[in-house]
Amino acid sequence: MLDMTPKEVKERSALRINPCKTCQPVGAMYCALGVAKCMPHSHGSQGCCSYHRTVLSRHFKEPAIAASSSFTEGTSVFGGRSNINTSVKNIFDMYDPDIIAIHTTCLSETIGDDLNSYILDMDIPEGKKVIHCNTPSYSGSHVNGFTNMMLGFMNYLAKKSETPNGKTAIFPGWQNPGDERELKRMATLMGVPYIMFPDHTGVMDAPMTGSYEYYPEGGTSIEDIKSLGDCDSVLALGEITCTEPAEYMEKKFKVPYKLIPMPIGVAFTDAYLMALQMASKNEVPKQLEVERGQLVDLMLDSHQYTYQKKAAIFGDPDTVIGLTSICLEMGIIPKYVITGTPKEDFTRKIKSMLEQYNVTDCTVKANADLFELHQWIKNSPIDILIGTSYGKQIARAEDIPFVRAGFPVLDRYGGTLLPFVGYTGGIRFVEKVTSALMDRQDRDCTDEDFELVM
Amino acid sequence: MDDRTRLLDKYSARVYKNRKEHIISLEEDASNQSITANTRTIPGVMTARGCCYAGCKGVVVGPLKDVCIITHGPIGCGYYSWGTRRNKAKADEESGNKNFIPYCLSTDMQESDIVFGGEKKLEKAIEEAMDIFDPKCIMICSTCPIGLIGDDVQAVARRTEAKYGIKAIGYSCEGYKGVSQSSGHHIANNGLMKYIIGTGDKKPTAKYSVNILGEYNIGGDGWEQERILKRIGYDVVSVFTGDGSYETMKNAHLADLNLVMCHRSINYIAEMMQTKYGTDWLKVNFIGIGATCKSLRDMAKYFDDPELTKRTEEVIEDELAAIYDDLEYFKTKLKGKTAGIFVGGSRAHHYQMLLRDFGVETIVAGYEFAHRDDYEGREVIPTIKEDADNKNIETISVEADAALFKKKYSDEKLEELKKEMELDAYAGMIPDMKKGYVVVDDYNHFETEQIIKTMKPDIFFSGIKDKYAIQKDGVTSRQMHSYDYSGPYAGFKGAVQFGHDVTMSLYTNAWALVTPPWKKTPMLQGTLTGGEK
Amino acid sequence: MADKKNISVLDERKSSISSCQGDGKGICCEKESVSGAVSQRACVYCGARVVLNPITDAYHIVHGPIGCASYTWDIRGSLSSGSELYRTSFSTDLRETDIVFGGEKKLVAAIDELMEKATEKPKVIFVYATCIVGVIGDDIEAVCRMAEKKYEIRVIPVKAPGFSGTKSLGYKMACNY
Repeated sequence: MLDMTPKEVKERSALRINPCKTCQPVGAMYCALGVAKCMPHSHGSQGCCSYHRTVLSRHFKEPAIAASSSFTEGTSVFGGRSNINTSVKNIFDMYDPDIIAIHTTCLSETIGDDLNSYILDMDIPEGKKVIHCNTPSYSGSHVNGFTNMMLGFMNYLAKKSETPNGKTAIFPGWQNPGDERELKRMATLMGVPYIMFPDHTGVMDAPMTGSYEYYPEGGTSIEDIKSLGDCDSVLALGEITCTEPAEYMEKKFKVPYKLIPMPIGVAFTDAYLMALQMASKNEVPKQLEVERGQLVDLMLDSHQYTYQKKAAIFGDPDTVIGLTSICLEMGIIPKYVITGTPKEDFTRKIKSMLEQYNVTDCTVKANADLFELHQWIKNSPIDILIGTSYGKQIARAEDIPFVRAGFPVLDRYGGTLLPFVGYTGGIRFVEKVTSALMDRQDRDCTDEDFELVM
Repeated sequence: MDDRTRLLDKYSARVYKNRKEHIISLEEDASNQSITANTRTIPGVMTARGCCYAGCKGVVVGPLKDVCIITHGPIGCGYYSWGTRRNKAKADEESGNKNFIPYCLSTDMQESDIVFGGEKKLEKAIEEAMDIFDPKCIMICSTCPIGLIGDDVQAVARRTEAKYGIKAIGYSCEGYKGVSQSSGHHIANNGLMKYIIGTGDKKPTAKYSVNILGEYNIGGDGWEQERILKRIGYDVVSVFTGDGSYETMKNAHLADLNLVMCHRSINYIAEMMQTKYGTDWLKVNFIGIGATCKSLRDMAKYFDDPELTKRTEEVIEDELAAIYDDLEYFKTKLKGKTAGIFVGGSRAHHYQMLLRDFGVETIVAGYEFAHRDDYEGREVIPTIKEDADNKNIETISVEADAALFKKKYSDEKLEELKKEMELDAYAGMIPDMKKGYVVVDDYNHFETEQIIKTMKPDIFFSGIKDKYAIQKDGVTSRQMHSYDYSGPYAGFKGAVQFGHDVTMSLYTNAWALVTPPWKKTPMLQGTLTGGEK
Repeated sequence: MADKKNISVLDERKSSISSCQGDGKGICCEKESVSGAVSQRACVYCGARVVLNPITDAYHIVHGPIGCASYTWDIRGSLSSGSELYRTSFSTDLRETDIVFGGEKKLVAAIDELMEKATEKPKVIFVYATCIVGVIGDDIEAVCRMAEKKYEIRVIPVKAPGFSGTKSLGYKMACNY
């Protein structure tokens, strides 16, 4: 496996090998799927749309609807106005969404299609909406696409009226529905009225009913997005993904925000609860305290299997920041921490966490790829690999225990229904990591060292 | 209202006008029926189609294991076509023990590259790839922005060849070209023909040798075919392109016969090799037991050697005996079921044969990116009207190679053979379907839903984008692009695997759990009043 | 850390708890545990079993209902440089009818079965009597004697019904064999 990867690391400035990121539009598409009765729309060649729907379906094991402008060579010369007009008409006719959320692609960006003016001139049926955002594939990563689509919705829809709605806007960042569900449960337990935006619960984890709906029940409603400007505050999770939308709320609507990391692990979940407490002024209910205690209990019970084990963690920046935090809490050394997203804030944040735990001799890199991660591992090995399905080749090549987390996980089922966030998500993570390490100990030890009780 | 009318019923006049040409209900004699295919998809309908890049890099050249394929463009396209198609490959001596399939190489273009041009970055990327991997062949696959910003990937390829003394091919397979993956196949075919085929001189060792064209080794299909062919005694010179390699492809012109599996993606090479080297091509189908037997017998007939014919019959008999029990069992589970199949450009036809082996009728079928000849047969090609989109795809012309051109048979003998087999020809999907069955070209999500609701097939074969929607409707769906991570489905052993998988998916216990008991039982309980004693 | 006077202690336990300064009376030990005090101790059987367990090339047959065998199955982590026999759990798995009509026959059958079918021929067998065996009065000594005679190997009865004392008695018993 990966036999062509040499141990010797050579500087590369042009060739990306085995990326740890993909392009913006898929993030925009995923974000839009978290809005009720929304049809995401890819403005470009139909291959983009096909690829993005495919990767989303493979990760969630759910339908991921989205339409395309189906650019041809002619369109690329003359511009995509006619295509997008036809597309919008057809979508409202055939699929009847409440809103179409258009994102651009490298193609439509390169030819300079002006979606703003196209939409202004468009014939949009009464009561329906069309919004857009720009997602040039050649800058940032899929994570930025997600952010840009949030901003797109807010630009077009969010308003501030005279009447506050008494709610907290929760921006979960790029999460699985299992995580969003857990975040909402905690907010409810804390007595915080909220608008979660976007919200994929019910949509990307739709139940089997025997009757398929284009728009399963779920997603942030257009009304809720409209009233974001009337929220009391914003609680934004994920400092890389949600900074811009949070700042937008403050600048545009004077809604103050609290920006915290994705709540994975004890400390970051504590921060989430404290922030919710600020909003509701309620005491933390017993139930959540019990869950916290259970997570800490579990970490202590199992610490001897995780203590100073070396991990490589890779994936999207906010997810990796959260995963690194819980790993540190478990006594794991995050030997290599990378994201493919080019964002230096990432390295700064990880490094400050490492300092906090007095952990040295780790490599942290944004804009990195899995080829170099693999080479580092070849030079100085690790005990466990944590990240997306794209790590499985490295895990096999180097025979390392592997825990899947983040996006995408293409080769396992059920993971998107369950959280990694919150204390319960933390319990799931500790269970997974500990089991992976212990399975390995069991696999590798001699018969006489093979323990029944561990 | 017939099924076709119901499918089209909900369309607005505008969409109806277009789609009615792509959907036909078969008559008793379908030979005069024509379908519109390989035309633009209307924006917004949610087509299943992909793009030119997907056809070139994803389908045709992607499976070449000893080639470093660099996707030139922003990161997405390379990322999505990385490890996602199940074209299995194994490093071997012929590939120089190299296997680049698990790698994704991209120039990961940034905004400044788009603004100032990406050729320099591409050349630097090639330098780095040479330094790290030292491949014998590099291919560059362009994505959408490349053509627009004017990077000349062909020129870069020529410079690469000069600088490193390796083979390099630049593909201008930008996503917007043509109307589907099909344009990418054509572009890829041109490159392989122009630069690779005919450059080797390693002669086949067996008495009879073949190439398998249009076999991508999904789930190991190609390996099952090779296993059978080698048992009979054929030498398989090269496979285009599943588990294929640059090294073997160079010698493809030295094979006696080209076998064509997926004609849609590879017929260009078959035809050009015939012109240039005189190699005949035979349309085969190793999907389905009857189809496999027929293909093997056609091959034997072509070579016309009693020894080979005898060996062919022996192998067929032995293979059939080995699968007989399993086959009979799965037949009892599947007989009488109905299916819908929508795949790329050949499988929607091929798999009807395999399903029929199990007593399953395909009542509705269609291709994502086929041309009219894939539906109606190769003889309609001269009547296909070219449109602006097709014209943009280069057609290369080749001439007979003075040194290498060699015809096996006289024209008269070939005419004789053509009466018995699909030699230099194929009949397409429609002749194998029955009256009342529906054919849909470039199907979309909306029509898929209509098909499920109105035609109610027991099982629907298509791709991942549809799969979960169909299943949510309570209908079994299996992916025919990736075989749902199973396979092989080709040949004899593959047929059993297919029977097993379809049976499994139709009969899996959880289907019985879909409706909760409280939806099936009345909530109110009571007794009739007035009747008591 | 805390003075014993400040800790709430069962009266019966007071003489067994001593502060390091000492009060000259010494500590009271080797006594039976106080009911309901949630002692850390296990039983006589357990004591005998853990002492004998590391005899790695022996067959350890636990004569009794399944529990006693199950809880002592490969749990001690004592390692072997040779035989792994001791890590396999053998039990007569007594059922209600055995308790009513006596379990000796089943024990004989168990030993016979081991002798016939075990791939590694037994050199020594320990037979542990658990609580209920003590109560129903199976004569395991006799069974073992007969087996020794029949097979000409050592078959050692360990009469350690759980109720017959404390765990330390089990240690002692084990050492006496």
